[in-house]
Amino acid sequence: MFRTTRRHVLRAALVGVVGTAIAACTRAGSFSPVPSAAPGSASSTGGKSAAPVTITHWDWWVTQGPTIDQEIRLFQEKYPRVTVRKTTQVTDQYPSLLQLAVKGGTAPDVFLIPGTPDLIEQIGQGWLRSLDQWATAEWRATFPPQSFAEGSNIFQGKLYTAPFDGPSPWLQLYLNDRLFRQAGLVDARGNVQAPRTWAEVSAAARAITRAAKGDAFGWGFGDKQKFVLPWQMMMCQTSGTPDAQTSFDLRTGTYTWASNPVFLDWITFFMGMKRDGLIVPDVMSIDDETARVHFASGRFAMLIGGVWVQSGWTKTNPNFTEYTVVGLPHEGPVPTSYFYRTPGGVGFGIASQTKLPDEAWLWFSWLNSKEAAIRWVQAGQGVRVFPEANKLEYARTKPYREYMQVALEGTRLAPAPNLRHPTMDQVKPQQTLPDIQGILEGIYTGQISDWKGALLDLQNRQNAAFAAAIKDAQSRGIAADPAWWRVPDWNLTRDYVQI
Amino acid sequence: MVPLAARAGQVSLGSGIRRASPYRFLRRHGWSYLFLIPLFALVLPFVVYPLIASVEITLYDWDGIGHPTRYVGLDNFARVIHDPLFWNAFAHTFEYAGVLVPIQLTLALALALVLNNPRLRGAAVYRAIYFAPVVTSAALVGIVVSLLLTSVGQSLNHALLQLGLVREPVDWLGSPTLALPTIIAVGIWHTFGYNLVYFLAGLQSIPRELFEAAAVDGANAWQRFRYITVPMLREVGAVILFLAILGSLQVFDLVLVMTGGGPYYASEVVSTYIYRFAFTPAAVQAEANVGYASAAAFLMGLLVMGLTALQFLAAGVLRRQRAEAAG
Repeated sequence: MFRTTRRHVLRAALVGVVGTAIAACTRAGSFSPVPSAAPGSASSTGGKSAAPVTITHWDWWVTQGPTIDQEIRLFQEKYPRVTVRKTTQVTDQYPSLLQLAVKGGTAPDVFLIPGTPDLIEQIGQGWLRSLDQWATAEWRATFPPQSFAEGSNIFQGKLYTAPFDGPSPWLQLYLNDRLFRQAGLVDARGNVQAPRTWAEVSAAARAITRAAKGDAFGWGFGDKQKFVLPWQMMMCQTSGTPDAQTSFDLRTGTYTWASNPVFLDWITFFMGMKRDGLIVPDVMSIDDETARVHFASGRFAMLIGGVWVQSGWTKTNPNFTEYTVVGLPHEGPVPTSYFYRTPGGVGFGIASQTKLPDEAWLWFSWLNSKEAAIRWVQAGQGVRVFPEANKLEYARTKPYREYMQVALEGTRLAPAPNLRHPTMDQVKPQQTLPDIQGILEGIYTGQISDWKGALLDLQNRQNAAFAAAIKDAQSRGIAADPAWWRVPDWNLTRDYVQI
Repeated sequence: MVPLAARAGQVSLGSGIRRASPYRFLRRHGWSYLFLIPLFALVLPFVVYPLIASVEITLYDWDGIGHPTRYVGLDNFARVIHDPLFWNAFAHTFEYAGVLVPIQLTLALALALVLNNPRLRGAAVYRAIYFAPVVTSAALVGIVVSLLLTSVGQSLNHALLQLGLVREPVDWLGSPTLALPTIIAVGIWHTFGYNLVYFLAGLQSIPRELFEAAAVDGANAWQRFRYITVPMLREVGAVILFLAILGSLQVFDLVLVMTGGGPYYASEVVSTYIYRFAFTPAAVQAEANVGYASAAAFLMGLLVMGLTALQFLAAGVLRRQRAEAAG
């Protein structure tokens, strides 16, 4: 009689595992939920096939997800042959994931173009397909003037993407109306008295914190993910610096963390609020999404965020509608600089690897149509590049209308020397740590006591890295003149006229 | 009657030893090698090949896109060695291991001694409970603990405030003095079960007769522990110690999820330092430098390999000492 021993069981298990692995590998190579166009068919060579197809779409949009899903539904109703399979990736890892997909030959057909690496490098590496065969002059004319520019979305005469978002300050100040009213910060008509300057912010935060008696604070944020502290510093954007994110000033062609006093002024103001107990105590431990929920729950009264927070609250705090949106406060009585825009713009792209280019273009052009743009604005997702889509009447809530007003008034046209000198984008300074995020963390937690010294050190390191990058580019035969980064006649309060 | 030699694969025929035929060798031991093949099939492409391939990458300035083209020689190594943030991360890594290992091993041994008591009921249940955190993803543990430590709903701070132990919420993960100790505490809890099970296995391999004989001779519990348990556990204890050190030096998930290495690098360890340069988050708007990250990883890898070699040496020495003592 056959006796089952442990050795027999282990052998059988091994055979089973190996057999399953072989079967899985064989099956995976031929798996496809919908038959895709075969090589050499009309669809793969740019024609149209009658067979149903599936195209893949990648982005990193979470709060905007339902709106994209709605567009997919409408698109598939109009084009039932084409199914769009959307994947929302983790924001932080999106560039790495996309790169891996491209390397593995599984790049999505249509994808939201990441900010890094540079678009010119993505094109050089063959990530993107030129849109010229479909983007006729007629199609381009549907966009407003200056939507397409060499060096922005056109390279060596070929178009690779189209601007998606409209010009707007990408951050605004959100006010919790209930806490403002509780502190008596309302005008004669009962409207919230929005702070316009840093001093007014400080005063409002003090009044709110005092009135809440420990239950709420004037200001809050969540910096656990390590990018929100610099958002607080974006209050400098309207206070005399053209770029509060990097401090790079095109008027001098240098980084200006220490030489522009606005940054130290802001740190002094912000740390004063912390010292006086006006900021939520554990901001360094909570992430941005949690902070937004805290804001909606009334834990603090002022939050810096983008338009995406509004659609986020419809999910996390659907009953929370009592808030006001205003532009970022400035240091002085009036703004001395603005958020800036340049010709061109980047949005979605079509992968060069796509086997369904026509279908991918169908979806791409749908997303970039005026009709989709109007629906996007109506859904409260922000302003779009088409002025016809950015009508105040499309705003369905008071806060969103306020956001649109801020968006439509808050930008100016900036110089874009890279459009004239495309090789500027090949000058890449090395990352130098600690960067501004690290330094702000160190200042906020008390680990850095010499604020001015830290800013000066950062400025010097970044300027040295920038100079080294220019020299390195020149040594590699790339044209790079430091003078290209200087536009001394730029008036920060007016649109810059590109010559 | 033909006596068989002790060593595998050889057959003693009277006065001589003849090596077994390949067919016989395979028939006797083939399955053992077959079971090893899957392990090698995974280790070779996912451990050995990346190690070798990354050596070349350390010589380039490369953002991870396309192929490395900008040769910089040993410049990356020089920059790593001169970067105070690297040594800061290095110090934190050893601080993490230096605090976690003694505390965890002491607790694990103490609990193993308790669980080794044959009169203890439900020992298997306790073992499962203490081992459960080990099978939970470190990233998941980090996320859940982070939520408990921050002011989301009924958190730890809420409990401490209610009990009057603190006057205001404690910023466990945002304080430069508390961030790393908090991670260490979670780390101790997370991998405690591994060492508990190892110690338990070691204790159960000690012959009971030794304890009985000692008890008959009048030895108390402490004396039995000091003169029987400790010497008998030395060899397995050395292995456990080195495995614990090596494991703790590679901490990554917990730090990345709980603090990201902050605030201001107060909890940065070498793994997160490497990760920061290899996979720069999009929010930073800076180019990654895989070559630089590889150089840092290579330096750290040399260290870990050195410690592994020490472990083998130590285990060998202890084994020889034990054999001499027994002989």
